[in-house]
Amino acid sequence: MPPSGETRTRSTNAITTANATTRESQAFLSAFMKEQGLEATYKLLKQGRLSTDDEMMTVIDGVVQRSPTGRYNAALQTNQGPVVLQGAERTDRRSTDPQMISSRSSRSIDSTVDSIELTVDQILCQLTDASANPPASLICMVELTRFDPSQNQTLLPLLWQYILDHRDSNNCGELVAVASAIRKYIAIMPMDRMGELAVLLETGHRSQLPIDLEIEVAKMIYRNFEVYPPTAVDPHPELAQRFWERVQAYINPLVLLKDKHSAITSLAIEAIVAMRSPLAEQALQTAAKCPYRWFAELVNDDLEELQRKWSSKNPSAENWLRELQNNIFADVLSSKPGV
Amino acid sequence: MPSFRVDAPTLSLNIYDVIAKDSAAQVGFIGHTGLAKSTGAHPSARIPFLDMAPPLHGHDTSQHLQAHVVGSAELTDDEVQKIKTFIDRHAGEHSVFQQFSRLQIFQTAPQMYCIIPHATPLFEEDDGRYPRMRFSCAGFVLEAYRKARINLVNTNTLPKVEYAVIEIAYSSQIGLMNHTGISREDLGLEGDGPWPVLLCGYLFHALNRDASAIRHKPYIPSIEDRRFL
Repeated sequence: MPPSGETRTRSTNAITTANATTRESQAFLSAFMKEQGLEATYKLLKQGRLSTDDEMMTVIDGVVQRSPTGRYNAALQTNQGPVVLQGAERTDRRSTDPQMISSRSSRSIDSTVDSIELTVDQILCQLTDASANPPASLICMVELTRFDPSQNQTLLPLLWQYILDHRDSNNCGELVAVASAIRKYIAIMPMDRMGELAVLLETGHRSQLPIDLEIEVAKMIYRNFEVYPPTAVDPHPELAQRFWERVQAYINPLVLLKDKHSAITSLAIEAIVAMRSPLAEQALQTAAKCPYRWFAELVNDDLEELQRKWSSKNPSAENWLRELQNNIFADVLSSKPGV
Repeated sequence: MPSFRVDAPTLSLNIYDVIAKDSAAQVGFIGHTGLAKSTGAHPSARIPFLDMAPPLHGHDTSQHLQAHVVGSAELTDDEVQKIKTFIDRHAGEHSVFQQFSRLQIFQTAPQMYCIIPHATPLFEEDDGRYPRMRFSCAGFVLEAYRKARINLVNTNTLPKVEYAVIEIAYSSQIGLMNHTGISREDLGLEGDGPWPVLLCGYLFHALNRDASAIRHKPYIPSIEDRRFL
């Protein structure tokens, strides 16, 4: 969708119906929008303040798209059925009703439209301007946006600060945004700075990282080393140590099956191996000795896939991994059937 | 256990049994599929399930499906744990989309959903690093079972289907995507077709064999297997 920083007060010149039973409602909406503009109509609908003859109408979902002609199309799901608006024109009409000013904290159609219509530069500017407390929705939008390498350099410290500032949050929405920031940060960060991620897993921090965030950290680190097999052994010893602490804590059979501990424990072991840490042998032995055979099979299968990915990139790393797996798993596990 | 069409008001399921509903466009044509969220008896019209909707709904979410078809591999406890781990690893990648409206989800569908291939990373950078895996609904089920060493369908021999068939298989998505500017190419449908698409129906024919066959030989689907009658 093309960028637009201008006001989104619009009127409509055409309405088509998606459902015959909602024709009356749409006729009413058409007339109202011609008079008040699209933005005012949206906001009244969202607030449940727009009534047809029988009942209040409100929007459940909606999206607006700018067409190449400069007009707008909208698809709304209302409590009275779907409504599709086509060819809405921009107008200069603006509501002065204070209740129509959107709240930053609430997720609304307007914020949805803003997010989709923002350019890459505008997203970066908003993030910079928000400094310490950007809205979670903006962080989520950052994850979905592709930046060029120079923009990544601006983005990285902003994401890192957001992660550090909000990782202890009790707010679900903020934790989703932190997970989103972690994925984006690790996917674009320089490989030689991966060791800095150990800060997120340090045990002395005031509260432990939620398990969902631990999973994102471990998974993304593993994926980075999938793409870039370490050329040197043990490039990030502190990071490997933090994962080893988790493996030791979570491998307990009383813990492993609870919550998402099997996911983080298997990923932590695989991240240690993918970093070619000296702890890799111990970590794999821990998996092999686990009373749950399925857990050892899971780790072994994933590392066979890692071998395959490394084979074309770094044969030396692939050979190291094959020998390690043969030494530890050969007597314990059957090989994976061909798929 | 043979796959079967649902004709009872209540269903007794095992966790991660494969369930599906018919396409709105054609009875018997499997339109959407996912995994039963829990073991036990459930109303057939409202089965708790996990799926790649989009977005991917993991254990932390609450989704329900009206089941028209059920397939079961009679999973062992070990296989169940592997599938659970697979879901727990991937569900968080899609949590950001849980914050979005339904229409916005469709607008960003190519970032989480794909038709071809059935599962593929979303590449963030040119160097091949990626923040999330994308799946089709059938692809999510297939990969979850593959993680448990159960390869239901041979994806190297998928029948090629025309766009008209894809429109039936993905009728609601295609309809909404027409309003959101998403192209066929965004979802992996390059060129004019036909395309080798993993259709939901194939899974139920794959599961319609004895437990040993399910585990030892991936099913080779035919074009007619898109339906399960």
